[in-house]
Amino acid sequence: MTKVEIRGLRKSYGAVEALKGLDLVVESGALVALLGPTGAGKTTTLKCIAGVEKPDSGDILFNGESILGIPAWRRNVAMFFQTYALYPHLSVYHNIAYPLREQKMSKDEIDRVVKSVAKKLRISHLLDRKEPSTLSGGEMQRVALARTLVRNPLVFLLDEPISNLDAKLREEMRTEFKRLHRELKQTIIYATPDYLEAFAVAEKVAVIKDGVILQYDTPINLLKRPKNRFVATFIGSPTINLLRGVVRRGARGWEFSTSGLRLELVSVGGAFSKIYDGLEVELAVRPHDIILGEQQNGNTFKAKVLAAERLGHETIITLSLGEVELKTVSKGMRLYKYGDEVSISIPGDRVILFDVSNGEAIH
Amino acid sequence: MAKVRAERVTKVFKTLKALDNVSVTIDHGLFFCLLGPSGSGKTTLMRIISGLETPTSGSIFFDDEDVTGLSPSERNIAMVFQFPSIYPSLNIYDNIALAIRREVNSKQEERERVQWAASLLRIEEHLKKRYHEIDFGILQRVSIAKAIVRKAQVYIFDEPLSNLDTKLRESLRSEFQHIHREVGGTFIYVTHDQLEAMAIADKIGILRDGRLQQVGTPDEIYYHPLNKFVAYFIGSPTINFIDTKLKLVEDKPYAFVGNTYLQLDEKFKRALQSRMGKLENLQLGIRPHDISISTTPVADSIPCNVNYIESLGTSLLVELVSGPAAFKCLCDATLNIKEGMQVYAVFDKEHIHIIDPETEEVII
Repeated sequence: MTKVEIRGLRKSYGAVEALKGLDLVVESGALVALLGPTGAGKTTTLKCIAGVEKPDSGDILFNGESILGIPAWRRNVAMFFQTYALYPHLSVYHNIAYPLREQKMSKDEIDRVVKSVAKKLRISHLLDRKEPSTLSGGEMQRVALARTLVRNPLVFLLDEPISNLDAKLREEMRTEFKRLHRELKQTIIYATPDYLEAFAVAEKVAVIKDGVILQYDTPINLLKRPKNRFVATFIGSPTINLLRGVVRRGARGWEFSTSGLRLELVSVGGAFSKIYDGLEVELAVRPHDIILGEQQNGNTFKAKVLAAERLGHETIITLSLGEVELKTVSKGMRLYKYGDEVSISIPGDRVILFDVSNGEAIH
Repeated sequence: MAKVRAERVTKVFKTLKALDNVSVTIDHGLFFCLLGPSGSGKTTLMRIISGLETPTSGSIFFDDEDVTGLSPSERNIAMVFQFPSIYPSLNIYDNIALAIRREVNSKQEERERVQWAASLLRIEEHLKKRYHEIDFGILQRVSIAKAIVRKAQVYIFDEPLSNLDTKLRESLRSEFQHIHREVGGTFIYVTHDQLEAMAIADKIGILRDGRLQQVGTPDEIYYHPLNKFVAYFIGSPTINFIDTKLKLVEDKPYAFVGNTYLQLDEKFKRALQSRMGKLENLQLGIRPHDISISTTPVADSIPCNVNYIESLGTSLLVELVSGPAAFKCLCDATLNIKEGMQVYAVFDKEHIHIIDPETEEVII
C-alpha cells in the first residue's frame, strides 16, 4: 500500500509546457481517476511517476519519501497502456509468467502466482492458449493486465487501458477494474478522457487540463458543483447547456436574462454574494435538470423540438427557444417529432452561473 | 435516391466467412444503420453495397437494377469515412465544390449547393479556410458536407463519428436526423456503437459473425429483441440474464428468480403453455432500468442484498444478489443505499423476456 503525493510538478517539452505545477495526493490503496482531454498532461504525469520521464521541477513521494532519485526499473511501478503488446510467440501462461522468470523466481512459485492472478481476472481457462493473437480484445487486455499484476507493484498506472475496446466491452471492463481494485486494494491511478469511465471506476476524480488539476472531487460534486466552466462542460452527457446573458435585480430577486428569455434564480444555501446588477454571466443547466412540462414555480417556456435521440433507457431532446438551443433528457423511449411544441421548465435552483471573465463558478 | 437490396450475399476471405447469406432490403429515403461488434461483417457488407468489394456469391440491387458488377462511381455512391478526406491544397469551399463539379451547370448553382451543404453542417464560417487551419471535428463536418452536397443514389457513412471525442460526437449525432431529413436520400450508416444507432436510425440491421440477427426500428429491437445477442447488444447498461424456471400455479404463470417465485403477466401463460415440458433451464431477461429498488418490503418483490454500487453520476448501477441470482439495477443517485444492505427489487413486468439459452431465442 502506497500513498502517492505529487507536488508542484513541472515538465516542458521544448516550448510546450505539459505540466504546470501539478499537485495531487492519492491516498494509500485508493483508485483515483485522472480525467482530461487529449493533451491535458495525463500521460506525462504517469510517465513522471513511473520514472520514464524526468520532471523539470517539483517532487513525487511514495509514502512520504521522494522517489525522483530512484531509477525507473527500481521504482516497482507498473504502467499499463492502451496497446497491450503481448509476446506473440509465447502462450498465455508464459506471457503472464515472463516478468517472474526475469525475477528468477522458482518454477513452483511462478506457477502459484500465475494461477492465482489468472483466477482473479477470470482467465484461468485461457492459460494454455498458444497464440495470444487469437484472443478477443477483452481477453488480450486481461492477459496483459495479469502480466502487470503478477509483479505485485507498489503503484499501478493505467493509461487509457480500455480506449481501444468496443463500446460494449468497455462498459463491462470498467466494472471489472473496480472489482479488481477491491480485491487488490492497491494504489491505482487511472487516466482516461471518458468521464463515465472515470466515474465508474474511481471514488475520487482529478480533472486535469493544460497541465494542472482543476478540481479533485467525488463524481457527484463534479456534476453538481463544478468549480469552473471547463469542468462543467467536460463532465456529463449530454453536455451541460450554456446560455450567455446578464444578471438583473428583478421584482422577486435575481434574474438571468438573455435573448428573449428570462429566468428567476434561486440561490442554494443563502444569497448570491458575488453577483451584481448587470454582471455578465454564463448560465449552465444540465439536460437532466430541465423538466418537460409546466411547473408551478415558474421559469416555464415554450419550445420547439429539433431532434429526439431515443437511446432506449432515455431520450435526448434538442429544443429551440427562439435563438437559444437547449437539450433535455427524458426517461424511456419517448416519441417526439421535429417541430413538436412542448413546454419546459428550468428550476431556478438547479442552474450554475459562471463569470464570463474567468470561467469561475459564482456561488 | 435508390432502394437498396442485398440478396443472399456471402463473402469469404480465404478461410474466413465474413458474410453468410445476408439478405436485407433498405427502402429508399431510409436512414439505415448497420450495427455490430468488430468482426461482425458490417464493414464488409457496406463495402459490398458501395462497390468497393465484390461478394463471393449473391447480388446487390439498386431499385431493381443489379449493380453487383458496377464500381462505386457507376453506382453513384457518396461516402464518408472514419477519417476526413480533404485536399489540403484547396480551401474548404473548393473541396466541397469539387465533389459536384460534374453535377452542376453553373457557378451560381455550385455556390448555392455548397452554401446549402455548409449551412446544414454549420461550417459556413470555415469555407475560406484551409485544411491546417481547422480542427478535426470541423474537418469531419466538411467530409460529410462533401458527401451530402452530391445527388447520389445512396449515401454511405462508415463510422463517421468514431474518431471524434465524446462532445463532438454527441453534437454531430444529434444533428444527423436533421441532415438526413434535409438531404432526403437513402443513408446507410455503419457503427459499432448501439447508442449511436438507436439515436439516429429509422431502421437498424444487427450483424454478428457475418449473419444478420434482426432488422427493425429502434423500438422493435429494443423492446422485442429476437434473440439473446440482440437483447445483450442493444441497451446500456447491458440487460440482465437471470437463470430461471417457470411454472403454472392455479393457472397463473410464475418465474423463479433467486429464492423467490415471481408472478408474471398473463401473456406469459400462452408462451409457457406452448412449451410444456420444457420450463426449466430458461433465462429471464430484464434491463437494469426496468428494476427498481425499495428499502422496505413491498408486495411482489425479490429480497436482495446490495453487492456492489457503481456511480454513473446522477444514477447508480447497483448489483443485487438474491440466492444464486445476481442482477444489476439502475437507480437514482439520491437513493440511500449501501453495500451489504438488504433491499427489495421490483421488476417491471411489462419488460420481462424469457429466453431459451440453448437456442438463444427470445421466447417472449
